[in-house]
Amino acid sequence: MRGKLRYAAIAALLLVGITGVSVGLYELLRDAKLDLPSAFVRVAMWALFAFLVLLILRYIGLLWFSYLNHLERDDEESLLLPPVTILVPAYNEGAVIQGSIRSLLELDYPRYEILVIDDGSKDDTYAKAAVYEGDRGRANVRVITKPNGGKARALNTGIAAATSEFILCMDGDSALHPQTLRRAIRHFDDPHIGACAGSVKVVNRTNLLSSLQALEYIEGLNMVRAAQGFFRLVNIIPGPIGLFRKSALNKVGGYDHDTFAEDCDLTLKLLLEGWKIQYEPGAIAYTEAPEKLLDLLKQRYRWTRGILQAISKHKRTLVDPRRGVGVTLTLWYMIFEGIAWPAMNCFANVLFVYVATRYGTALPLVLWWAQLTVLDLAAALYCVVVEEEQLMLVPYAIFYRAFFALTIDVAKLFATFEELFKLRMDWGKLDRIGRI
Amino acid sequence: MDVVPYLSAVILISTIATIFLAVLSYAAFKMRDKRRPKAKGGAAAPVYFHRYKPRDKVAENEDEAEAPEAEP
Repeated sequence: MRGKLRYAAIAALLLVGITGVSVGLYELLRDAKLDLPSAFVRVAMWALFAFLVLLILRYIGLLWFSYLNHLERDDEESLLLPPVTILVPAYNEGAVIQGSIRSLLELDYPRYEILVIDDGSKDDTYAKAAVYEGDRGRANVRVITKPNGGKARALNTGIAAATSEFILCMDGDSALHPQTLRRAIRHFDDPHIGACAGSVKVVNRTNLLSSLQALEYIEGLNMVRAAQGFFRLVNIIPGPIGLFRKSALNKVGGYDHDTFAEDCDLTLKLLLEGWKIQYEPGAIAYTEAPEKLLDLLKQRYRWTRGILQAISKHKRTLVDPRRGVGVTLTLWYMIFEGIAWPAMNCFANVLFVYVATRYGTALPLVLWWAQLTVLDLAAALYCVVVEEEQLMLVPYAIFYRAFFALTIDVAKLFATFEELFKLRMDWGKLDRIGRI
Repeated sequence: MDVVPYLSAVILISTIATIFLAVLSYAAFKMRDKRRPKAKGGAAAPVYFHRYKPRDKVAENEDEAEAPEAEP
């Protein structure tokens, strides 16, 4: 209880802080009495500041609901610990596959199966994984190989070969926290829960770019999932960690191959089928983040186009809430996050730079940056405390807003245009460093 | 001392630089992707629009029978 009161105090302080700084910044803008002769610029600036208010509400809403979800959590374990099959699809993961399997053998769970699916790798993935095959105490390791056909097909092969009702899907380049299965399986005591999304954390915090991604994963991704988890409406079960009912997977037909974000597509299919999806922060997957800018852009390019493809596939639900108002709202939220926000952020920065160079005042730009940075700092502090993460990640929020978010948003915007014009794209596998 | 002018200058310069770098980086990423050699002998056949089918109906029924009471 004392811990929860502490979190309540932090949440209240953050709320007061955000409100105070926001009011101060707007007072600053009002005092400046900007003289902008162009009607277009004036209208655009009002639209952008209205959007900024929407963003403030978005941050406060996410903080609030993730906090409520946090309060709702109990640490009691499920009385039932049914067998679980862990699917590890692997394509050219020779550098990291053994580390992945070793981490899986250390899981604290009574009975589970590790099923490695080699997706026709050209390197020594199969040979390296096969070393671990057989009965290994609580875990049984199986390795199967198939012609290359993509991650979705590899996972479907694994689903068909899995011997348990509960299936954990992960990436071949990820490692799991030992308590992952125990923490995630308890949500399935509720028969309406069809899947549980885990928390993804960056393991290689070796340079500025990967440290910024570490912050982004806990603030931008996990906090959102925690808030969505309060409504049991998580919209993307991340590829590195998701626990599913096999019966739910079978009912929706497993993974489809028609998008580049098969995890997002599957999640939407489960929601549309009526299943609830929870988030479990204690089920942790450690993954490698790109350490080079071009690799990062490649990853985000694929994510953006994949998510847009998944939204487009289920676009009927955008205007037809009969299959669930929650799912319809979730899809609109995805459009807001995937298209509206990146577009508005790019537009705002270009417009404010124009205003600064044309009219000699950079105050709107400063206000935009300062307001978003305050929100990012507050969210980062909250997430670091709740997820018991490194406090040193919090100051990265300043760099995050200063250049990281804008760089990613520019890439998202271009990717959105390419998706609209249906330009050809490849899967674009990232080269792994092997830090796990 | 009024810090707003200095902060404004820093943010303005960093924003302009970031916009340029972001566009250049994206162009570089696209160029690198185009230069990458294609697989010899043709790429794998397209894998679009194939729907996963469970092994067989019997196995599916067995799985559902073993499962705890689950309903959407």
